Amino acid sequence: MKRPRFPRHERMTIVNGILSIVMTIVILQLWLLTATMNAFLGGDQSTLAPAALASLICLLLNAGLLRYLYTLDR
Amino acid sequence: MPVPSDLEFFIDPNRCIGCQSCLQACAECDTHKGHSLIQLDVIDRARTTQTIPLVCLHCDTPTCAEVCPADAIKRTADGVVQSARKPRCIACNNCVLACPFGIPKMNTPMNLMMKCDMCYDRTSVGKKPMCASVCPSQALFFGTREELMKLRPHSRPINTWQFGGQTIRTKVNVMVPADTSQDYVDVLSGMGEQAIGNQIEEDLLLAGMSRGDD
Amino acid sequence: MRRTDPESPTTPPDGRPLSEQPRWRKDFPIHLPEDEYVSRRDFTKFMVLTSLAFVAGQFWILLRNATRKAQAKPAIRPIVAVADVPVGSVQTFQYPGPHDNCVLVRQGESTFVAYSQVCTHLSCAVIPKPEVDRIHCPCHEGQFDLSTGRPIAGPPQRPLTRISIEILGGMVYATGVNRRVV
Repeated sequence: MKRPRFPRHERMTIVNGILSIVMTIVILQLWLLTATMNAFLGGDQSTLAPAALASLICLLLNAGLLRYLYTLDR
Repeated sequence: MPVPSDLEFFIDPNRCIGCQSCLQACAECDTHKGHSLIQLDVIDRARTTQTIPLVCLHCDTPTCAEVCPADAIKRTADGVVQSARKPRCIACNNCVLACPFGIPKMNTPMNLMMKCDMCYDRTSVGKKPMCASVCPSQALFFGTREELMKLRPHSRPINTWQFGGQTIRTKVNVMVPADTSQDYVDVLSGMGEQAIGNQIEEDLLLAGMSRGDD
Repeated sequence: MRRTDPESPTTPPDGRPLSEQPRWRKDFPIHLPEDEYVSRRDFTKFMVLTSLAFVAGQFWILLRNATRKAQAKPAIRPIVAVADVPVGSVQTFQYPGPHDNCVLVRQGESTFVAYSQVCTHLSCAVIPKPEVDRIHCPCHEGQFDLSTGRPIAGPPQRPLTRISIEILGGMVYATGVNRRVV
């Protein structure tokens, strides 16, 4: 797959964009983790598995974005 | 904030009178702890009073930065090569050895290389570097090319240096006579020559001593 | 200005284009804007590792839950005789295990409440105060309602774990553990 070579200033914009998305997703994951811990300590079992799945999806999104960043030819 | 692109640095060695104002002005800055980053090269004191003020020439492909093992020397987007960053510099002296112009100096007590950064805190807001602001003969000139050409119609600036087979292009310009045919300074051609064109016929000072004059 | 690689702002000493240089020249650029790009990319990588750590945490909670579910239900155990507990007094006991401290409060003639002594904020030992109908946590001034175990003041957000009580034949029995979210 031929990757388009972006000029330097556009690459900066791209990395800024990807970084802000990744930061948002990580903060979402942090919230998920604290809510899950709260539920677990309170004995609520129904939320644990969906929360773990959601967190995993977040990780896959992050990993995909990072892979795209590395394939930007630098 | 980048240095305004129309402002350039010009060195005219012929105008240097060796007053050392540039050294004093540079040493005033606390950012480098009172150490002067500009150097005044005394060529050959026995034969001539010629001195050359040497600022960092801010090469387009800075050799010092390329050889630094600690990634301590960086070049900003506007082409100014910064001095070594203290957290990273390991005082290995690689840059001191590598620079073709001999600009970086090692401050061993501080464990840090120090070199001119064209007063980046001043030039990035359009002010002159300290040395250029105090030079009485304006051998060090910081301003637009148009200003300079108006002031000195018999000189022209060049910024290319030829070290044998290697061409080095720098941000800082050096003034040469306007009728010079070459567009570059051929460094090797000057090696082995006497410091000045005129030979001293008789050394009046020392000749008197050997004669036994009082 | 001629350069072998138009994308590269500086030329490496051997003059070859950037694509032919070793990897470390690209990873440690001397051009400052390029360096900023690399450090942001590295920070993104660090954030993704943090993301991985959070996912690991989520699955660890899931695992802990599975082990908790797999444990047997706590046995019914006698605690103390009804006659030994004056009205308005507090008794401590261990249930279900020897290190699980709990408190039993006789609120009235026939009203008993029992909770785990572990505060739901940061696990300090709570102190029931029957005279003001509250359970007090001295660590961060948390207050729980004595009748329900729900937090009414301070940092605790979840109610205290309730120990279900049965009174049979003049004896108080602890029958189960009820964790609550709200």
